[in-house]
Amino acid sequence: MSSAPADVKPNEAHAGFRSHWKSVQFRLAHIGLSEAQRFLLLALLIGVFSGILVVLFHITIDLVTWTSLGALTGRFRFARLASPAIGAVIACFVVRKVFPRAKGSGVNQTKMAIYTSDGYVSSSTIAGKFIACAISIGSGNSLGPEDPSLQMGAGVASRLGRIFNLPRSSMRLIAPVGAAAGIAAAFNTPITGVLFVLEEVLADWSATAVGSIVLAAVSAVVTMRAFLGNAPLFRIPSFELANASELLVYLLIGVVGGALSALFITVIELCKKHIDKLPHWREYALPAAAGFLTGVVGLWFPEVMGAGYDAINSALHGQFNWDMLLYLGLAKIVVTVLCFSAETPGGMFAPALFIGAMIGGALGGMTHRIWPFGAAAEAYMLVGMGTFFAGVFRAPITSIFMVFEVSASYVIILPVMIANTAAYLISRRLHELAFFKMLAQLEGVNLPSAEEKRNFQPLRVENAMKRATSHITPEAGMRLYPDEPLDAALRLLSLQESVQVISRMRPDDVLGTVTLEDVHRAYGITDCQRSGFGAK
Amino acid sequence: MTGAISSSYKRERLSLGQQHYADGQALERQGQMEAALDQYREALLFVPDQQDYRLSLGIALLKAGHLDEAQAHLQQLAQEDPTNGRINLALAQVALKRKKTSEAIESYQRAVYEYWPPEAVPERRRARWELVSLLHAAGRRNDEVAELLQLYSSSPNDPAERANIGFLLVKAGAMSEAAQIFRNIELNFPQNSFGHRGLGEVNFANGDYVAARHEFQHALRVSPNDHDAQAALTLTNAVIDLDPVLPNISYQERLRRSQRLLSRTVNEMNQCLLEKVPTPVAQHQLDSARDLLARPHASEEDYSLALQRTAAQVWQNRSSFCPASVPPNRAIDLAIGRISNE
Repeated sequence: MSSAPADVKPNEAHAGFRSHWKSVQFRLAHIGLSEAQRFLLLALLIGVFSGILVVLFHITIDLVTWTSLGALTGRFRFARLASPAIGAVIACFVVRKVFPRAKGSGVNQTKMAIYTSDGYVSSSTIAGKFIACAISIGSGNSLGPEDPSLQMGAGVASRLGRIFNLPRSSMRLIAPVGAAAGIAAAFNTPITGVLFVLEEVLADWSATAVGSIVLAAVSAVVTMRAFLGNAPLFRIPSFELANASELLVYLLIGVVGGALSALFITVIELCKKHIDKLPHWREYALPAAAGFLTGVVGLWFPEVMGAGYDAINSALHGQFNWDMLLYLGLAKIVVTVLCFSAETPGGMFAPALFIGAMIGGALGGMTHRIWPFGAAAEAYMLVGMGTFFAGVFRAPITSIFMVFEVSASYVIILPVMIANTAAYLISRRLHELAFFKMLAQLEGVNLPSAEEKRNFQPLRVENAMKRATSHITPEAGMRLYPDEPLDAALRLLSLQESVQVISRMRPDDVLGTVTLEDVHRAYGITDCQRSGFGAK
Repeated sequence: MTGAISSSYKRERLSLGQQHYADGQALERQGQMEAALDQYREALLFVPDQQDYRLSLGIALLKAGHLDEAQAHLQQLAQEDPTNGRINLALAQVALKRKKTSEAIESYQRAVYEYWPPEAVPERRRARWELVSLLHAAGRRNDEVAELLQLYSSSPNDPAERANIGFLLVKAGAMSEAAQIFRNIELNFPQNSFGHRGLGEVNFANGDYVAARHEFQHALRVSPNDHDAQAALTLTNAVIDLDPVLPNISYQERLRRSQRLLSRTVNEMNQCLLEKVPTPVAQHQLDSARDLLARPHASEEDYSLALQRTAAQVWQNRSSFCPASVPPNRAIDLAIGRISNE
């Protein structure tokens, strides 16, 4: 952008810039690429810009931390008490008064954008999220930068989509691409970024934008590493599993992690329900109180303040005994519940990983005292991290790959699979709703989730068809396979009265026929209802 | 712009890391280990890639006895740089503190055979010395000899250190290698008593007490204040005086020595009787020995052999009879050993 010459009036300079910008937009929109090519190019750009944004976000959080918790706390120990409270109030002011669209953790807001406004995320959301979350997390509130990064990535994608004048249908696809880029850069883990978006944000593995999502996630991580280096999120010393009986300990970690994650969701749900009933003053008073209490806890356990990645790294290097790990895990649960329920801006991923790691490490340490031949403590922490993530967010595949990706250790896969599955099943049993689903319901929004889809058993042609009792001669025309969804039958039945169902192995073998009446019966629609529909 | 911001951010991290590291080193020098550890940890949080910081933290943790944490950091370093001698040495020291001898030996071996910067040669030699003492304690004689020979091949021109290697080789049973080293010392440092004393030790260990006495005497001529040589000579003389199988001695002399040996052995047992009541078997053996000593002797040809045999039996029982607080007489022990070998 060139500055306006001195003799040009400000209004003229602004108009000149706008016309220049329009021509850039026009050229970008008409550079002679096909729709798919433009989409891939855009994914690449989204990755790069999201990566840059996450880098700046990361740096800003650190700068705030160094100022508030570093320099100030160095001079005045009790600055630790005030820092999170002041940070929370400023962040809440930014969100409520300046950037009201930047409310929430970021995941549900991105999903809402995808499902309700064709992926539109305003630029002010990016700015608001950036400023508010950098202040709140940097000043020591127990929240994480990943969910905001996800939404900021979606915002970048939405902005670029608008610059490229993408059609409405593509705009809806481009937001998850940015979300994947944002979370991949925040975690420094491309696979986790892709999987989380497919599993949780889109809740659809057959998404047409998978290629673009992968491309954006990779380019975001590459960009992030180009600026901040190749350092992984966690530096994990090598370890190996001692023997097969150890899997029982991992199962125990899974069971406890699952129960604890369900309890965590329940407590946040209860807190939020009660807080919503409080009068208007709560908007600033509660974040300030939560921040203050975080500071109080931080006087004894400074590790629980902020995202907590440094503490996880220290724990992974054996700095804490099992009892200290337990205290840290429990303290983090308390302060995270306080900060999140008070609606202090920030995400939930980092605290979930912290809690899981500490509880897993504590359980591993406890079992080590009884049975000293187990694996190293870091293995238990990694598994714990995965269990809590799986239990809270109900994204079991992401949780497995996340642990694998951050540890770069294949030996951990088997324990993680066992523990995460146990945690996922137990958490689901104890609390029906996943964390983000629960939050959406509290806000009165119904968003699709992968878990719902997993539970949903779609009706298939075989559920409706009348099986052939004798040999039926195959007829020319449209046919169905028994495993096809019943919707497919409906489409064909609008063209012909009945459709033959044939075997995939032997196309000449007619297994039965299906009619509109059969489909209605399978759907449970009565004659009365049918006539009602007809009347309408 | 992002590049400029991130560069300045990285510089700031680096500078904060350096500051904490320097503070940590200062505190460590003052002996404030826990405070130093906190500073090292802080330094590492700012610059997690800095191997020196992590190694300093690992070593400081080892010194402070935080073995789990030290091991975690050192293992990570070893993972990133498996050929680093210093890292492997620190890992070996952790394993040693944990009493995991075989793991410690492996790490020490990796440490001494892997990369060390040129200025760290003395450190590497110290590591090899630690390995030698560990191998000795673990009873791995062949490995110990190999390491001692390596130490000798790179040893400085210092007769004391070379002699030390030679004495350890004698202890490890590598007599010919030790003899070669002492001969070289004798040749290159004729004014030093180590060569002769060492050769005396080799001869003594080989059972050639007369040659050993000769070397010890030579060592004392070169260095009259060599107390070790003096002590060794005294012991050698005592063994020679007692040794009934010494070559080229007369029958009468052999008989006299055999009598003296049995008499000394019985006296040693009597000392133990002051502290412990003998078992019936031990009492019977002592009575038999006393009878044998009192018997007229000139007429019996194999009397000398009977005395030696009895002395050997009494001495053998001594170890199970006498308490550990009464150490065995080394000269008698060696003389009995000579009889057994004969």
